[in-house]
Amino acid sequence: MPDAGALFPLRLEIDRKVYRRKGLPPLEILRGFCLVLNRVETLCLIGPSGVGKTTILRILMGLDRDFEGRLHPVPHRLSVGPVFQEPRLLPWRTVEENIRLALPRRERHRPIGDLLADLKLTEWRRRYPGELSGGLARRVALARALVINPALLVLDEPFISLDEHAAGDLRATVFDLVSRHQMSVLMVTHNVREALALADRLVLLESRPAEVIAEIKISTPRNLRTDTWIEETLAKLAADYPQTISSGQALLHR
Amino acid sequence: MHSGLLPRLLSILLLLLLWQLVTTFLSSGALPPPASVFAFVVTEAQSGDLVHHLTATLRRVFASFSLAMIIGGAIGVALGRSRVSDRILDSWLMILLNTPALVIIILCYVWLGLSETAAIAAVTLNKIPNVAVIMREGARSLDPQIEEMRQAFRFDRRTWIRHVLFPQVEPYAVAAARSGLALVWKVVLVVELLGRPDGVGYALSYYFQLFNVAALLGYSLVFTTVVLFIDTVVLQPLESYARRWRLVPSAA
Repeated sequence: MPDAGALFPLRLEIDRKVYRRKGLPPLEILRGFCLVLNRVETLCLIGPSGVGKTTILRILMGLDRDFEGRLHPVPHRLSVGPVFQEPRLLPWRTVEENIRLALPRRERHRPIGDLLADLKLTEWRRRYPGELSGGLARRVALARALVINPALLVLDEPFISLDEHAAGDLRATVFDLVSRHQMSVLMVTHNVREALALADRLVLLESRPAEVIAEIKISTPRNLRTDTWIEETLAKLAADYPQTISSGQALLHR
Repeated sequence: MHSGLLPRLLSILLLLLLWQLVTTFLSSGALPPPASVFAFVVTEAQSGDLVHHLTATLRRVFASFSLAMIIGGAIGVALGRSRVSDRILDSWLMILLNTPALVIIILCYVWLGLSETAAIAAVTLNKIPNVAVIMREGARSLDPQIEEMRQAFRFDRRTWIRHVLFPQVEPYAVAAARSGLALVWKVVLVVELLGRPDGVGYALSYYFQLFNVAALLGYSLVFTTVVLFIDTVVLQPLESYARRWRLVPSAA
């Protein structure tokens, strides 16, 4: 298991991130953005579509190096567990193979039965992704990120397009594992209720180039965040940040 | 068993029947009846010549086919993934692709002498551009989302090639193999005809000088049968295997 202490505090500074597109003016998407992630912390990025949330995650995953700024320390293999908006499974490998392939070659044969059981994938282990429903495919994608036991789990809208019951179920499973294994989580979501239920900190992003309009620390322990508490906090936030939060809420009532 | 096997057998039987009918009515030396062709095949097989020439040819087919698949595959994947190398090498590939097989064969014999090396090099060179072009298409069609995923997980090179790259180019590789086998064995015969002392191509040139049409048809028949057999027994099952994950019932 990677030494989590070596990764945190993880500091991401993006002085400037510009998308250069052929035949179009360059698009400056982030300027003077700074994010510090602490050990065993769940941080939720909230903001309207196109504000640059996924760009931030891509930089953290090491997929985008074309930006002005720095990431310190640079995460090494196995310290970041990525979950994309789409499951992105290898359709030509079985569920179990998809999960195992995230591991380094030497560790690929170690038992993963517990993880499969936790994510209710045991009976699906020999199936191909083409046989899975959307919700199951998401479970596999989550298992693939969790199997490397990352210090930081990066989630890009991982519960989107699931029905509320399935999403709630999966959320509980994942966050149970996260707290059991003492992982930090960076999650992008449109769902403010979801963020309020899970996050230790919320970062609200707005406008272009994006800026952080608020950072909200939530000290209420997760098990005391009742539905009533969530609704009250949501109402308060919506009053304080009408643009960001109302767009988030509107999405919820699709 | 293949479901299309029975109609295929019937169609071949029909062809043989037609052949027999034509020879019955024409009775010309230019087209011997099936029976005399089969009789030739049997005597040639008993003398051992048939097996001797057939194995010589198959050995060359196998060597040059494998070399061309490996070299052409590597070139194709490199071209499909790097725009710079594609710009530089694309015209070379086009030139090689459109150079007559005969020119390449003659040049190989001139440069390398009338040797086994020259023969295999000539066939390989003929086949490489064909493989490279197909494999380049395969490498261009890699799923960008999956490429990002394997970068995010930092798959090592071997894992990437085996579990990400190869499954995606596999259908292209099988297509290249099937179209390539058809090309390779035709070129091998020409190579043998021009500069080898054995092989089916040599046998054909020998019987051509004797105007023995039964022998020509006999060799061609046996060889076609062997190639079709390889295609059906090796390449087609390989293709189904490569596509096995596509055949799963879709999600509910």
